[in-house]
Amino acid sequence: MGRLATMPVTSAPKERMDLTDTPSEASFRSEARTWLEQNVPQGELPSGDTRAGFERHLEWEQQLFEAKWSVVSWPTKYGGRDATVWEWLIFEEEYYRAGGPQRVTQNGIFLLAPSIFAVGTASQQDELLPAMASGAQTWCQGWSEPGSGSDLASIVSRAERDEAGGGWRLSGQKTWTTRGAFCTHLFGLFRSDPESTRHRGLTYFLLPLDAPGVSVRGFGRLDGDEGFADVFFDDVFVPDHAVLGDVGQGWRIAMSTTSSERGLTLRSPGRFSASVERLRQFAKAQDLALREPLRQRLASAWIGAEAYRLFTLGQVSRMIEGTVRDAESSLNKVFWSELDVEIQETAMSILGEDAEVDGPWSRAFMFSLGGPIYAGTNEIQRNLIAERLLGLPRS
Amino acid sequence: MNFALSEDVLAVRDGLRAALRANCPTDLVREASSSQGDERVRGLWKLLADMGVLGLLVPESFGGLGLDELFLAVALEELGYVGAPGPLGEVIAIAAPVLAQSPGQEDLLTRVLAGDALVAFSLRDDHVAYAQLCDAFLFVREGQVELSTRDHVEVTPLATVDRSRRAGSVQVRVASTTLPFSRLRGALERATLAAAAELVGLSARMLDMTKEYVQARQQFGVPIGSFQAVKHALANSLIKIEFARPAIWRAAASLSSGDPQAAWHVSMAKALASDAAREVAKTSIQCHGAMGYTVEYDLQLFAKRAWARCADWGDSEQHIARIANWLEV
Repeated sequence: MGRLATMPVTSAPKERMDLTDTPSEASFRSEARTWLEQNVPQGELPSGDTRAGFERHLEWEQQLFEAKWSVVSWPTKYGGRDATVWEWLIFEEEYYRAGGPQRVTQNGIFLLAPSIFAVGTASQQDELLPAMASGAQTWCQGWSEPGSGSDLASIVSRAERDEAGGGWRLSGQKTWTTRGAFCTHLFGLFRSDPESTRHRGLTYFLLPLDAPGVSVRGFGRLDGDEGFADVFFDDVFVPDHAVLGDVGQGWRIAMSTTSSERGLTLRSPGRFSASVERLRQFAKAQDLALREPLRQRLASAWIGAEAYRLFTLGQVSRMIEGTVRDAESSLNKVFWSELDVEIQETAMSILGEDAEVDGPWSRAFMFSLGGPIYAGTNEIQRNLIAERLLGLPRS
Repeated sequence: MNFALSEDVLAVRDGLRAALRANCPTDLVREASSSQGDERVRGLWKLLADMGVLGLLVPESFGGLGLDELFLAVALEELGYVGAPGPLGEVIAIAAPVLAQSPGQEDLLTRVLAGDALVAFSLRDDHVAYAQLCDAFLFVREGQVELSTRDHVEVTPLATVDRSRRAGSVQVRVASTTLPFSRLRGALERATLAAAAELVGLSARMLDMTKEYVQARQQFGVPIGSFQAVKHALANSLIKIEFARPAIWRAAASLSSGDPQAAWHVSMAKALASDAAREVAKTSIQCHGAMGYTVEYDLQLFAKRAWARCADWGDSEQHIARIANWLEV
């Protein structure tokens, strides 16, 4: 065996591991920081999961869009900055560091847009993307049904062919649709082949919620806000150009979206770094000296946020190299969702009796409990990790 | 930004991986539990010496490879994966570099780099890992590094759970030599990083063994790895490993670049790695059922090593407490 240092290096040397910003990343960061410091609304906005709060958040989205900060990673022609993944991460870090409001346009921007970029027609891209980026059209996700949660492939909402009209007729019900009562549009999966079962024969539709035959009923989430909705479809006509991708390919298109939903784009590390830092500042003002276990829990949560950040930095490097493993996003999803619960539970413990006061901390705690459920429950994610990353047999 | 290992680091990792998997089988680790295995253990150390691994961090002018902590991290992960016995982390990360910076210790350094002298580096003398195997001892006393050779100490064997650790209590009989070495702080961080990296390697090995076992082992007519209870336990193990490893790389990069926050980064790495190893060892034994609760099966070799290394250079709780202090909460 030869000396290690003389072993042949087969490919070009990569640059050295370096977690500092390059000059262009540093100037991107400084531009974002300056703008955010000057523009992020003072004080907490009303919850974006209420009608009034949603409207107020849309004004903020419009402001972000006008300054070209609403979709930094998108091409400039759709309102973005052609930012690299590193720059996108930097923007997210700065956004949450500055205390930027919840992004009510997120489900369109992060869940639907990647699919439109991947399989949308040129006219779908030109028509839908700028309106999404500015918040002029707001999108909710129509996937879950009363009988189809984790078992998404069992959906029964139908799309029937309307040859005469040149389109499709939708019927059925979607539920737990986030901000469905306030959004203008819905992207959803419908069974277009009545003979099909499971993930075959599903088609991906894009439609306005004011289409005749659509009715929406908002209902309260755990925190009481009307953040959820049932969406009913009663023979709703949608034209052919409302189909995203090919007929019958809905499952495949949706799954490429879910991997972005679970992974990095839904929850970038900046959110948790900011969250744990806010908790730290809050804790510093309390006397935790006599409550040693709380100090330990806070430190553990801090380490968790750092671990998530470092994991995603490695993941971005692998994305750039093209070596990210299939199903890796399930690791992110389990980790960030459970980290968020850990952070918020620690906050509740530090607050003690005041934890029951309805406010940002108690709301963040309740919101965190949704994390292990939405975007594919953590039970489903752990199955995917075991089967796709560890190679264990399917049940 | 870039957070990937360089081609050079990967080449070293792959070269070492191939050598270790060919030359450090589990029967070597098993035999290392008594003096009858000494010859094989020293044979492995000679191989590592020939490859330059023992002098990874020692400057080239002193006969080492002059590499940095990222190389250290990947090397220790590979050594952990095969359960290589002996005070490897301590020699590579701290003893050899300390000797290289201590004028007058050239002869001992040469023997260390040749794999002829095994050196312990410890904060305490009443419980020294691999003391029964070591030819020299470096103890930290009052902020100084004190050197004693084997003929100047008396070693009382200490039976350990991981029998290959060959620990002992060391009584220094002749006045030790104080090394003119002052940069102790950074050296200790390096030893901590080495233990963390080794723990990730041990964890990866236990998870690999377990994932193979649960696919082969059938109960109720199906592989037990098809049960969700087993899948979820192993998914948790993978998550622990996957989120500890980048923290180790970052700590290594910080030590290498002299980042003022390197000590924080090392503590996070050790906390995550110790926590991962403890969890993976427990899960692996559980998922092996009664097989995991035997000494005949090899899993125990790695679990017991992991338990010991979890505590070396501070366990998870100690490093979390350190972070809590730094956070000023």
